[in-house]
Amino acid sequence: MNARSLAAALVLAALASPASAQISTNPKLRAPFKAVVAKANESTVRIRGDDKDIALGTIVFPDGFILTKASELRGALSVRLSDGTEYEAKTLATHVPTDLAMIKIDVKDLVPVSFADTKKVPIGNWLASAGDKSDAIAVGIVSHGTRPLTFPDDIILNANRGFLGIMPVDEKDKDGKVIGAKISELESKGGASKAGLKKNDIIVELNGKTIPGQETLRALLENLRPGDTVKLKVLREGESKEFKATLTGQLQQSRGDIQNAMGGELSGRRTGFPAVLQTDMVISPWDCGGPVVDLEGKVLGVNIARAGRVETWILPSENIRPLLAELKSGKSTAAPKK
Amino acid sequence: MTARRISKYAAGFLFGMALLAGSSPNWAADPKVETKWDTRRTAHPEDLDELRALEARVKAVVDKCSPATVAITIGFGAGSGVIVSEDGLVLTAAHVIAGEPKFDLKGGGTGYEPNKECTIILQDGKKVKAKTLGINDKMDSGMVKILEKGPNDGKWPFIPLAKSAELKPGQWVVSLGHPGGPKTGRAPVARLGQMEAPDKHRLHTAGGFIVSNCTLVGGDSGGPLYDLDGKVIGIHSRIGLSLATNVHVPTDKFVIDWDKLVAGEVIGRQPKPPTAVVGVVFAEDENDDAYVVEVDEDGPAAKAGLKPGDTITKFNTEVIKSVKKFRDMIKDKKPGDTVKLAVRRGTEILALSVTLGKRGA
Repeated sequence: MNARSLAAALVLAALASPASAQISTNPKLRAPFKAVVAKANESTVRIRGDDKDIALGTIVFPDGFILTKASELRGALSVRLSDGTEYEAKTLATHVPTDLAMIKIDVKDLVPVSFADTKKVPIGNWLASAGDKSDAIAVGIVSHGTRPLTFPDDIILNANRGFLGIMPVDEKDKDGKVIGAKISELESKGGASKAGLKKNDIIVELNGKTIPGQETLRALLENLRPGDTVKLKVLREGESKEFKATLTGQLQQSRGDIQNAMGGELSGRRTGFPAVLQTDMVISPWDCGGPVVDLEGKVLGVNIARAGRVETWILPSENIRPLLAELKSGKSTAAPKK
Repeated sequence: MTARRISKYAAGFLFGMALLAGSSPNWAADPKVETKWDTRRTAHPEDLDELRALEARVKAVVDKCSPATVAITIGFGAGSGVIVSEDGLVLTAAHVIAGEPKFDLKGGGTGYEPNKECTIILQDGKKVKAKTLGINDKMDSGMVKILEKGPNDGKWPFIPLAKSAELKPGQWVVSLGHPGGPKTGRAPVARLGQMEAPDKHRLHTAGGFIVSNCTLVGGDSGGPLYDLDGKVIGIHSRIGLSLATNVHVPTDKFVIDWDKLVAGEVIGRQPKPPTAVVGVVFAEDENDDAYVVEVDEDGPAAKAGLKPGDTITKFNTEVIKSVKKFRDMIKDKKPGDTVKLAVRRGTEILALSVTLGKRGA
């Protein structure tokens, strides 16, 4: 987020007013939406990981193929259908840029959604999130039409990942080949500093995996979490050294981060999508992955991230449809190389 | 008086979360909609027809008001605003154009002077030059004037104001703005909500602000809150922890100060910070005694023995009965000057000799 656009924020902690019902989840407002989401609810499932609610899923083919938010999947996966029955699920494929995953359960004759175009959907239209109960889980309006994301919102990263507390840059050898990630800055409270790493150390291995550069380092950290310990092999003035570091959460929060965290939890992976339809609907990170409908009941996409205090992002139909066949066949796509 | 001053000071730390974010369509025809939404209605839509009616009205407001909803960028930050006259007068928040009213240890308030250059960004991304006018720091209201002529025969699309005092809890309202700051390819972002009951947000409403549950965030500051008739009723100022706490300056407050703001008056803030500093923080109200809340431990006052809780009663031979008077006295001093301060500490009166420091040192 552009640091200069944010002036001092204010956490009125002790002085906070009692939580009034924000319109999105107000039960009185959601009542007339029951009929609006009824059909899409049939195609919405609850996804659990190690018996915890972690996401919602959208049925896209009748023979048990379900789309959901990839970065939320962890642990032993199961799917609970709208009739209450629960099934073991396995991940077939993931598409990192959209953060979509296709999972599969051994059930036939489910009701899939059909995706409608979002190009002409105007700002101000009602939207409702289908869910695993009879109600809409949230309602709101179209805050902005489908648009591509621009810097820095186009960066793929997971804010909930583990951090070393360093600023890495590519280290090149004399032929210009990238051979490791050099520490250009170190946070004194970070895991790397606490483990004894120093500025200008070049990280060449993490947990036995070769680190050709800072992009690979970041990609590996995406899958690790605060509290995880990592083994690092490092070059310091030509000598090879080994360290064990404990990852932390993000240490430096911008004012924008602080403000966006006011009012509720955000999704870890909340940037870097190819395009988003924006809504002011309020949903929890563990309710992402389900279908979103307009007043006619047309499915415009799936909730892909609770992205900030004012926005939930929907991955639009136009970005989902082209991927269905390849995800169904088990073809995964990693993050694009810059 | 002392205890109350401290709590007022604490309350004064309500920094605006900086939300640092005409063509008129055919109002009468909402096509295909049987039911019309009563723009003053406070109840929820109860069936699909009413949902459609409210939706049609919200879309009409967004269409009418987006062309006059702008982003403002100025040296240290960005926020939003709304054009309210055809010659380009823009309403925004004081903290967008003047920065936060900082009660810093080095001098007591960041200064603000009008007629500073800033940039207005229109709905389509076009940038035009503008200048800052007046502010009311207490109400977080501010004005800006576009320096170029508008696109419609030299006129700017603008939105009229409605009386904010007529708003009722539950009344539906639309917020537009630039959350996160202006972004390429992104028009003003819409949010729908209702006015909150003032009793639920006394912390803010007691100060004259109004509260809605349209979610706001940094970048939205200065942006417009519209009623369903498509008129401006508030300007975004700050947020609280809860999603339902989004605080706006009511338009009625702008109207009270209108001529002063247009004339570039600075209400509630020092025009220019003094160059010589003593290194203390006073309580918020300039008209109160010169009661010292904090002392910069590296500053001239600390070196001279001043402590938090002291009240400055004399500056050389001048009797000091207010923070304002103290600031007037120090304005003409230079770093390095020595001043004699009489200070009341509990029941004692002390005489302290302070060598003034340099602002920003």
